[in-house]
Amino acid sequence: MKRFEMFCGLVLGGVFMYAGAAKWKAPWSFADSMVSFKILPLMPINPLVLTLPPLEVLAGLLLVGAACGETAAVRCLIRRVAALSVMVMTSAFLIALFSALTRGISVDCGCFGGLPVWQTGGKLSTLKTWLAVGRDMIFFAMAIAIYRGNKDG
Amino acid sequence: MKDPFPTRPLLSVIGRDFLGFLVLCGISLLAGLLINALREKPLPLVYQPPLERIRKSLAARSQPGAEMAEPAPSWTGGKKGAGAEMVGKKGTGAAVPRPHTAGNAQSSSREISPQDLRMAMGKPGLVVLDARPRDFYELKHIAGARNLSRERLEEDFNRLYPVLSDPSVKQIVVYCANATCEDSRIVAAALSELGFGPMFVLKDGWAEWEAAGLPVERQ
Repeated sequence: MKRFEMFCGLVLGGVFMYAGAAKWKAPWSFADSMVSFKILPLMPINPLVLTLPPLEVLAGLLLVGAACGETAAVRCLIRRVAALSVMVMTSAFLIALFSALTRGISVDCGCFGGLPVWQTGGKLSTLKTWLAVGRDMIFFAMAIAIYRGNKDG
Repeated sequence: MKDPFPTRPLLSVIGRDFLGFLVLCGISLLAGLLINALREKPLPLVYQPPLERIRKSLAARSQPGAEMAEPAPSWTGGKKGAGAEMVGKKGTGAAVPRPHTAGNAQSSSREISPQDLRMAMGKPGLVVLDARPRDFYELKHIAGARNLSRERLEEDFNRLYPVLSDPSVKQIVVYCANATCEDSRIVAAALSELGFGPMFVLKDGWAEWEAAGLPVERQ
């Protein structure tokens, strides 16, 4: 495994474990943040709020702990599944953020258990949302690098 | 090193990885449900907006009793409009707010100038609420103000409920950072909708108050 992919795995793993733990700690706030995007109906919000933080923590743990796999094939499989999970999650975050930006909704992404925005007030700057988009794009690119780099152990 | 995927086509590999992702999702859902069940205040499976959550906690506290109307504050010339009806607990005199049913809550709060608020500060029955995030409140706030931030609305509301529902409260003034912030209006609208009030928003917020050299305090 190349050093760059290992670096990406450690960074992404750490970031996702932290983000997941922060959301897990404050599920009510995370639910309010998710609603503020006005994308999903209210019905799936709470099941998603319950699922997403453990998924982030699990994906982060797998990325960091993949080196403990017994064989190269197992290590590759773990990293690929974890990287795919990160790709799916960051894609969803990016779609949500772009959607909010195009509709002119000012939101806090709640990515790290941030402000529980229960009503969109227009106070949070668009720049902050663009920064979240940029960060998620970097994470997505890192996940792709890990996914592609683990074909041959 | 031996190739772990020697003959698998790309789609098959992606499909297998995707299956792994779905397994992770299933494990995560189970873990989430398990941890949630162990929480002191579990998240319900269907989302409830903050106002609805507060209403439910209010409903749990409220008991049937006599009604009394809150008078409008002196600086409005006694004009009613945003006033809430309060439902009093029999015998105790404690008031439990009853939600408004009509109108746009955002429009029901009126503005009060810093000077008028300064003059009203000595009068009984005035509650001043700081709608800014807690960190800013702790740094410095209007003397005597209490923190009911928009971002921790439910938590702060539950903490301040005894103060807000006190029958002696005649006016509630909310402020946030400056003339452009919206937190004060949102908090005022939420409280007004829940039946508290009359609600007032401090014109130009904390910035104007501080610039005018009016009384402030630290946490």
